[in-house]
Amino acid sequence: MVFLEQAIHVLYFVFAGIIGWFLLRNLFKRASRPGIVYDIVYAYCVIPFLLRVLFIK
Amino acid sequence: MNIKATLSNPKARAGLKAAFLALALLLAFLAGREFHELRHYEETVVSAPGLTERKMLSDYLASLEGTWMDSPVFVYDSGVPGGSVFVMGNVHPYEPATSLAAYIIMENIKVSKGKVFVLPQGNRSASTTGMLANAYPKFFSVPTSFGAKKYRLGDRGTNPLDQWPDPFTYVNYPSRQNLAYQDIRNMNRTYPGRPDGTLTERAAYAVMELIRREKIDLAIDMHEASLMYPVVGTYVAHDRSFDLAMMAAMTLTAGSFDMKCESSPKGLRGLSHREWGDYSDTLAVLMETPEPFIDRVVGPMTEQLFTEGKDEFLDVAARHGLTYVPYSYETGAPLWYRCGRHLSGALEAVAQMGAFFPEKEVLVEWPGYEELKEHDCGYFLHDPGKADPKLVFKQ
Amino acid sequence: MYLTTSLILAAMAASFALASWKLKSPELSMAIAAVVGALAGGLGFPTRILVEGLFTNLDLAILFVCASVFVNVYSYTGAMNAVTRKLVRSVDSKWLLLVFMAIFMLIPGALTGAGSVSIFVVGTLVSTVIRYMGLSEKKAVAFVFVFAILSAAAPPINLWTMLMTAQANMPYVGFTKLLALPILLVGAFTIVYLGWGAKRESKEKILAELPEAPEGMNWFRILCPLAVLAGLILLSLYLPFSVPVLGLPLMFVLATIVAVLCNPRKATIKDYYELIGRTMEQVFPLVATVISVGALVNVIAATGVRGLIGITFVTLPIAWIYLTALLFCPFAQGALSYGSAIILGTPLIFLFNARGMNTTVVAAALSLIFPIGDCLPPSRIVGRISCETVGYAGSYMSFLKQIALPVLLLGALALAMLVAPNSFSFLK
Repeated sequence: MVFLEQAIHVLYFVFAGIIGWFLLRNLFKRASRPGIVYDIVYAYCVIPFLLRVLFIK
Repeated sequence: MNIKATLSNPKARAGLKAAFLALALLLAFLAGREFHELRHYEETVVSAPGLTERKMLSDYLASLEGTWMDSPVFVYDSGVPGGSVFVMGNVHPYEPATSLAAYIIMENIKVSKGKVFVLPQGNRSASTTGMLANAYPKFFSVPTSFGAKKYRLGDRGTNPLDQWPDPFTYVNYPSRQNLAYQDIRNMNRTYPGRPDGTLTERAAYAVMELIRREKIDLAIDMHEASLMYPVVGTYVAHDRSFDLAMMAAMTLTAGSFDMKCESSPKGLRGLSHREWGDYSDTLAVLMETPEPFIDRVVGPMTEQLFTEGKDEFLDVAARHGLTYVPYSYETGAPLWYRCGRHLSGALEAVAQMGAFFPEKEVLVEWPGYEELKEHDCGYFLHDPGKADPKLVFKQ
Repeated sequence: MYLTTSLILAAMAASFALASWKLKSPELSMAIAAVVGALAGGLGFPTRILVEGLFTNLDLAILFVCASVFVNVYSYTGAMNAVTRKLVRSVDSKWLLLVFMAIFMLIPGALTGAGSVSIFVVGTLVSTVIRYMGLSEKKAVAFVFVFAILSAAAPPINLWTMLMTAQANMPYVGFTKLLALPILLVGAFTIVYLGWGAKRESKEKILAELPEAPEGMNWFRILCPLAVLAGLILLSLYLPFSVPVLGLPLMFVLATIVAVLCNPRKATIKDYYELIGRTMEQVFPLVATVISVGALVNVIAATGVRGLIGITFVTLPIAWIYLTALLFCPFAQGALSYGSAIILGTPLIFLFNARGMNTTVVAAALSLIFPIGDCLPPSRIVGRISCETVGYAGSYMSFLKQIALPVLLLGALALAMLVAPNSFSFLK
């Protein structure tokens, strides 16, 4: 059980990484909400995913 | 140049996006440095000479070794047969007057009969992250003759870096009582714990094992409470320890400060005052001091509010009869007052155990409420630079 | 302190309104309001507090992404169309189908405590079916929203109650009937109110309009991903010590993998990658909202504005609390999400307890009021998910008007419980 819990723990960091990657991708290449306003929103929304993947917060 | 034309140029637009990203990365770097600082900052404590052993929670459950929940337990054994006392702080590290009280105990303790175990960081992982949605400062400082000593101000629950994800509801083991999802990281909802459960449940199990294996006679869990919480300024005692806690409360109220006493509710599971008593032979007592800082109606979240406890909104709440202990802006609830309450509260509980159960008597000294009132907390902390290096610990 | 914090609140509200008007982005407007609040509060540009706030709802953001990926992959396999066709073909009565759809909506949220989960799991299916039952787009979005908030409040898992009871040292016991009865009443009213006058289209016409289910899509393939999801949720709830903590996002990911395996059509990894990319775009406003609102909440706490709101409400005379509860509590929910239960709910429980009122009923009443705020700014999370899931093209205000009556009924019932809690204690 402890091993499984640890494996799931790691998996969630992978999830955060994948979501962060898609946010980054969509910052530069997306079909909807193409305005500059959403460039800014995409840019700062990457932050928590990045810091989580880097095991900082 | 026309701004619209510039923005419709793909290269210029990509450059702008890159600039926004760079700005975001800069923010991440600046904030990340601060998060890293809190995560890795080590508090220093200079133990009193009576230290006989330093154990770890992983000595009681091996799987905690190498995790952020492993935490040192300091043992002070007089060598004279008597009872044993366990004192724990910082199970909720957003209530850090409890770890400071534990440090003051460790730096000044003299045991002449029986044994005392001190666990200053009950949930070490939780002390390494700020509490979300509350904008707490990272640290607070205690002035001393050798400069300011800095301590972490943490969270209520285990750091998600160490335990993630939360379930959609937390089911306490073994009672099966449903609790809010984040309580799975709240050590004081996870007792008696499980050896193969989540990290927090395992730490709770290790504390239970410590109490059982060391045959702890009196176990004291120190907390701080919001003033609008009915159990503030109170001993919460398990059935077996209720009489001694009641006597201690009456003695303190007569001599030093108001202290209430409540019986641990049987229907509320996972808390130390209930499960420590149910799953071991110990006399379990939890203590709460008034901490304005964690009341939800207070003003700006500053270090000053934490250390002095002065708040105008809370003063208004008190005047409306909404606080469960007397409160005024003028006096506040400073750090010395909260630490002093814990120190005298623990001493009085120990004394009452000796009175009720002479065979379990523990004779111990550390500074109490009156001493802290006179000198404040920093007076009782020692300079690590001048201390015997063997007695200096970082955690 | 009242004056300074009131001025900070005014500055934040003004900057939020101005930014919303100019930029048309509630997410960025919240971030701007947070920065303005910090500046007005003399905090300068508090990088750590702002960035720390972005983490407040990180788990919720991840849940939204994983749930949306599941729903989109499930729809992509054709299972959603197939199940809609089968339902329309086999059930003739409009009212019966509406009742089924209401139950479908209630279950996921009741089990997880999150109305958004109900919308993600069955919202698309429910809105499709009820549109064919003759409900307008506006009524369909109202149906989805009302049952989503009812599902969140429904037992066994009501997060507002759990948070309040945890803070107040009360056991989470005795809430089932207290919560279920008002929810059933409001649910029944909503079905009649929204379904009244709707004319079901002919079965043939509906089936002709619905896309054909892909060849090979059978009940097993349709139900398998849903069964896996339901099974994992039930396992976590009823056998919690035999399974590790999976968390809802992982449950959705596992159900997504099963949906991929059950897809009768050939699809490449690139297809799924593109699908996830599109899903991320679709769900981004929600992700951005919950992330941005965290920064706002952190600044509200740091500057003392949270305290101002809390102290103002809890020190009102009791009659005023009754009069304003339906305003303060839902707006607190709109700003603070579940934090509203801790900031306003817990002090109110203590206040009512001191007056000898039944706190179990009070907690239940409050936990029926808070969900109403899920359609209110700044975050309006469940309202927005409902609109986006149904594809509602009308104005947000028209959506609010459509939900007004069922929501007011819910508020009125909850208020009655709050005013005379001891009269309802027989439901404990």
